Amino acid sequence: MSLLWQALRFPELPLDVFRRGCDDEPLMAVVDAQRLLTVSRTAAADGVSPGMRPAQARSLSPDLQLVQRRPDLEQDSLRRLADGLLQFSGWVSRQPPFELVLEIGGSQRLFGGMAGLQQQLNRHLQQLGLHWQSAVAPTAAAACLFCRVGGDTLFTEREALAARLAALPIHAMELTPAQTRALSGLGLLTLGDCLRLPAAELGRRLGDTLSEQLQRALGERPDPRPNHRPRPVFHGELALPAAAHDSAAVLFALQRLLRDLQALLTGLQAGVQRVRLRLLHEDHAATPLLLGLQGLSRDGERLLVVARERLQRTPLKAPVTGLILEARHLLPLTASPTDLLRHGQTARMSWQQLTERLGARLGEAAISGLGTVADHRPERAWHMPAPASDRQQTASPHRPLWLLPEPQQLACRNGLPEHHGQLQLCQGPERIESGWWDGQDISRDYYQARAADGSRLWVFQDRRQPGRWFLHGYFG
Amino acid sequence: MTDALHELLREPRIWRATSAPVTTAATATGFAELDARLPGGGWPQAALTEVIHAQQGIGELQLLMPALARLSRASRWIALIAPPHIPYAPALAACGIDLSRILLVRPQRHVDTLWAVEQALRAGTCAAVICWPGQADASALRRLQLAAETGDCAGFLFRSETDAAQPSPATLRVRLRRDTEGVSQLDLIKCRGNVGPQSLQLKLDTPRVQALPVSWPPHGGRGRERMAETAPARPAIVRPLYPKPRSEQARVPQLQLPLDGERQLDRMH
Repeated sequence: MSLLWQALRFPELPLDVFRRGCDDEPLMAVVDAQRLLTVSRTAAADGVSPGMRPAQARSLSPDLQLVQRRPDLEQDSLRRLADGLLQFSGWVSRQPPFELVLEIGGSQRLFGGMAGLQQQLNRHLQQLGLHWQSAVAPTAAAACLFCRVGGDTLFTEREALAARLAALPIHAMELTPAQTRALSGLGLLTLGDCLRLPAAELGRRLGDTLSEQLQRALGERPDPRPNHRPRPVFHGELALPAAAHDSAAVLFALQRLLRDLQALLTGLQAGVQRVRLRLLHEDHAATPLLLGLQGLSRDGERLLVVARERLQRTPLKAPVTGLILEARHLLPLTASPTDLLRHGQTARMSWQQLTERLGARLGEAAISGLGTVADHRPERAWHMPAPASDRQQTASPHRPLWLLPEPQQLACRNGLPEHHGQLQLCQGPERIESGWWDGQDISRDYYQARAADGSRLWVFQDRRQPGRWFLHGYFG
Repeated sequence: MTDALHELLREPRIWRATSAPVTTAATATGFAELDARLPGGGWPQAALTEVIHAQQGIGELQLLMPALARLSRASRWIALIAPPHIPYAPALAACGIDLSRILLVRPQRHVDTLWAVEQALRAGTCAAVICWPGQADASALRRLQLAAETGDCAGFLFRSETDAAQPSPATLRVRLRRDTEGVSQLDLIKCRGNVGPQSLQLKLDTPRVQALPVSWPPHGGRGRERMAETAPARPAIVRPLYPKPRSEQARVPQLQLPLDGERQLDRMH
């Protein structure tokens, strides 16, 4: 099986991080270092273009909204994007600032061939509200080069690589200004021009980086790509281009974030039961909302339903300028097995999942199993091991089902114990005398006793302190 | 007016005492006289059962032991949530319960108890969830009932006599009493398919576990209840605390080998 790489480039990511939170195209431009970096379609229609100064853009389009670039949000978005793409490939690599490559040769069959994979990938990216260019090629470096000149290239044959690359313009490569000047001075305009020259000579004149890039694109030099590892928590932040006054706009933005979450969960084969949503306001403290589900799920729609209920019940206290969605506990959730005979059965949680969930709220110490210990002393004949760990079981008949943690002293009359009236001793004594070796030795005579109200008790007389009776258990 | 009444009566949530008993999956209680009275012939599976008792130590746990012994030998778990005392492991083992299938949960707060019960019922991991919920209002119990249905789990709630008067959505409610003579009496307060309260006397102290087949063929699933009647009764193997001295074991004639190992074990004990 040969590797096949898909490169995805998000050239409008600086704008997309603001734009994807709202339904329609805003009149907006992103400013970086006093120049316009990316402009929206509607702004471009007014004549605004990247590279302009803000004042110039304002004069062309008076209503233009200018926002400062947020590189942190961009990188966060790229990371979440990579998380989500793990459902399409086990090998996703991020290339900041705007690129991702993923190996699809291994997974295309799962999606019904190349066409099916591309269709599902496109739908996924569309739902996230992003703009992208894509290219598929037998090497990662070549895929990136095709992507940079506009994308929409798809070929899988390694033999065609050299011919296809030769047609690319030289500016597709990452070049220093000095290299660009040198290349245009030499009259080398396409990659084909460079490839015709001997690699060693080219390297000496223009630096090794250029010939290395070419060799990687041709697959003649190893090109290791770091595999993206998702974080086991989800933190999604979305800035809204314009403050949202009603819950509908907030829900639209939330839907985008929930899609991110769902994509991560699908990639990790995990689920969440509870997510934390914070609505950011201009000059108020953030509104926290806790969205909970009955069971683990990775379905964003279910969380959206919960959020809709909550938002409709509690009105917004101020216009919303941004959203932060957090999920701390991503727990493993495998696809529910389908059974031929028992339809309509809910997926059963494993006992580990159940104890994890109970332990998460009650504390680990509150959950245990139950086991026996080979000891004659009743209070030491049992213990609480980890669940499912104890296979050794010693059964003792004539023992009560309830044991009191501490023997409880009983009142006495005429040398006989009392508990809600006189006790009647029915069976016994059973003498237990043990434990001299660890200083916790006991010497007791145990009896089964019946109380006036019909209950049966396990009582003992301490042989060290004659005449003193204790209650140690109930025959429940 | 009558139309409105008919409308109301058609509501699926309303159950009328005169209507035909609903056939429900059930687990045999291990007490023949009780099985005969209960619809489905046992403790309802995927539903809540309330056991109401005034005092402790009148055999309230013993009532469930045969059913729990059987359930613990199947593939699923048994959860004990917020027990009032220590469930004594050697005694449970003596009743035939596989302790490695027991999950003991001891929440600190009352709200956590109800939450844990709901989670355990809903998870589908447990065949039975036994809990001591303390105070619980009707809406909380309704949640538990739904959770039991979702998780296909038998929920047993132990409650005090004061809770008996309170209406409850549980499928089955029984009250256990014992008189001074030691005779246990079980009242069926609420039981679908049975008209009016009924009482029966049970001999709880007679260990019935011995006669029950507690070990199952590896394939479980449907028809398990039916198999309970047809499978040959094999006593639970209970290892004594004091094993017989080795000299006695050595006296088993060597020539009779090979014997079925299990049968040999039975004879020795």
